[in-house]
Amino acid sequence: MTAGPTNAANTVELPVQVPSDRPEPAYGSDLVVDLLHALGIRYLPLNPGSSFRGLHDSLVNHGGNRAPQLLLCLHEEIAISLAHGYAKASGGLGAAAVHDLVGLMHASMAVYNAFCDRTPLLVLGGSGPADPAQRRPVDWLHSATTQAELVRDYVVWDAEPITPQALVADVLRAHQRALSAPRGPAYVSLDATVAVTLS
Amino acid sequence: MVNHAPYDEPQWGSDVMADIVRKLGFRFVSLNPGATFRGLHDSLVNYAGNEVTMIECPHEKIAMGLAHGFTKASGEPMAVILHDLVGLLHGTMGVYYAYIDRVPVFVMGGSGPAAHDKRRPNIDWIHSANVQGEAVRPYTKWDHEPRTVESLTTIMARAYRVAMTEPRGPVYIALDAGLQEQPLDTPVPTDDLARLAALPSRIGPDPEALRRLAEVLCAAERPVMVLGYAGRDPAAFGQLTELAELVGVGAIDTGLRLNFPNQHQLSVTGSDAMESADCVLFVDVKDMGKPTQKLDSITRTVVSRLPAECSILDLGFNDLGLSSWSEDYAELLATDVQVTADTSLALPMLLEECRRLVSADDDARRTARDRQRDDLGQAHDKTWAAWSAAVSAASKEVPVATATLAAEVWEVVKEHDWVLTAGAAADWAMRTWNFDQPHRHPGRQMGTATQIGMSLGVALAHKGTGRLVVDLQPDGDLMFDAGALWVASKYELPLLVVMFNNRAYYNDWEHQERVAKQRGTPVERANIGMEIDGPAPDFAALARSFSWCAEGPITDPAEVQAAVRRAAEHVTSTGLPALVDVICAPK
Repeated sequence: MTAGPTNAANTVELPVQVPSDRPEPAYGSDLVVDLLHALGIRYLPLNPGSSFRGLHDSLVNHGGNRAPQLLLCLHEEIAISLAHGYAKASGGLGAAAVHDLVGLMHASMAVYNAFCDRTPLLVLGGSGPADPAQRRPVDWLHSATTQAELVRDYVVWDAEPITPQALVADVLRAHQRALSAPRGPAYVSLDATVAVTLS
Repeated sequence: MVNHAPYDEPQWGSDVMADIVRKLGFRFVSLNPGATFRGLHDSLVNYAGNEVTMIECPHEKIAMGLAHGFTKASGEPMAVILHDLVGLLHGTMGVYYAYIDRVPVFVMGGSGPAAHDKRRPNIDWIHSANVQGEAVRPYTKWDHEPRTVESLTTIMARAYRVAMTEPRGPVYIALDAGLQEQPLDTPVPTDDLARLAALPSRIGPDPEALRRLAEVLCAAERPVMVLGYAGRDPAAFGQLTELAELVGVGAIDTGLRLNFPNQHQLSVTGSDAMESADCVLFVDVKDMGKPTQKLDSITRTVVSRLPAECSILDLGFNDLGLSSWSEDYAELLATDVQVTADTSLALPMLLEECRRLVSADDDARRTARDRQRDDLGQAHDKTWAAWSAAVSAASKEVPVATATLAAEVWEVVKEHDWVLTAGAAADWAMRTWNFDQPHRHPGRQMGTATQIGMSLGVALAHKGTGRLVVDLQPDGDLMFDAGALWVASKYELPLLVVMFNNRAYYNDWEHQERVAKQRGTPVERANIGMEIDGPAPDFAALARSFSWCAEGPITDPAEVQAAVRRAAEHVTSTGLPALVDVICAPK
């Protein structure tokens, strides 16, 4: 039997000149990346969005785009379904990130399917900013009171943390709830401004 | 009425539904097929004689976008059918954008069956919810789930009225699969449908409030007006032009609809006329923030462009249709005179008031009003001269500058009776083309992943008119819904797609550059997770796989015009779609 190509060590989109030691977290979104790393999450499929631009920067620059490595998907549904398949095949948790309200709408059927299939997912989303003073005009069209209501009926848990401390606690709880029987997707929306503050 | 079924009178619940759909006057229904509306599907094809033309779409959101675009371009409502819960979930973003954009899409869904004994094992259970309409309730104007065949007529008539009453928006009716497939024991009359579905009269303005608004507007020395959805009524295009000329008001178009001729001397979109205004009139605007604010994209700091002493006038729907869930209403703006009315009724009345007031101008005021018009004309000329200079400066750049793309396509488009479907290539079409008639543009796209679906609907609306329908299509947007190209071939839509292809989610790429600047991380890494490259999609090959005429990728700006002319010739001579892939600079 001939061995196929072994691409286990993924070299796609590795940033150069990233320090080998993980630096101290400087932003809320750095904390999230450290958390995902500590939780053993290797991949984060996503379609990019300005509502989590802070997280995107932290994945690349704070985490060096390794464990988790972002996987660019051309539709939010593909990102969630990829995580769904990965979770089932690996026996662990699938993680994905989706852009604010409209990205979550694009993803909704895939979240529902993961719920029906009892597949543990950690779905991260950008949202807000909750503070009206911080909003660009388009942020109003993509905000809701509250965003998580879109998927609340078919996730095992959801949260919208408003401080970096709550963000850590909520990602941990979402991870725990997703993996507790009966398993399923959990959703945490990261406020765009909370993700960029750390004091 | 045509009937291809082996029976004359309605025999099934879905026959009654099909009768209602055709009697409501829908010419088209877009759908992705599903077992939960197999009864209705059969009734539409056979009992209802296939009179309501089905537009089969390879994704529910494309079906929603197509109806959205068709309705804006034609002024005529369209029906959509979505498969049970999962089809509805696929369609959610399309429903949301129809809601945001005030478009009356009549959305039906299959559901259930509600009767447990009729459910197929597993699949009907995992695709049922208590209740299904909740998935879209916060962003539809109304939803319902009829329980009996007898109640269908009044419920669907009400849904039609609610969708079509201004301010318009989508409605959702879940049609139980059991009801669809229920044999009829007794006739179910639908004779009253026309009267049940008749639209209520439009909302007229309080005459006294409208008079006050006209007085403030006509007394202002540097007034501008911000134009939102008024252009949904094609007559507004001429009325707003007349108002601008009569009073001496500068027009700033939001692009949500085409409200004003962009090359008119009093069109001051893109100028700094707002910064010096002493009066701003909002005409059918929901979000007053976006057109009046400046944004620092790095720090998210928003600053108002309105001078502190500026009078704020608002003519529109006020808080009608406000959602408790979606925050699309944006921040509340302090207003001096608010007149709640449908502008299609109020604009002619406002013109009449202003004619009366302006006719009383003395010589000094007449001279001052002429100067008002001249100043605005100068602001217009200055803005357009800067755009024209930018086009000239960029004409040789490789990759093709967005300004060049728009200018080169215009050289071809202007030879035709043309329509622009949605997005304007980062606004460059609005700065280089001549939008001289209301049908030229049904309004802009609603954000990423909305343009190709809406473009199909705009092309469907203009099919058979001989018009050239042009879509300046972003690459990221098309990759979400690539299957949409198949629909254009299948239904022979006269659509010219010119790719505005920067091989990236460039809007988001820019955001990563802003974050990098803010955090001091390397700007060179902003491409990670943002490029749609390596491999670069071959859009011409993709289009050809769906039987389109296509060429590209084109990188030389000197080759764009000839390629677009060849493609336009194909579209106008065959009525079939064509695509030209152009590799563009980011924006």
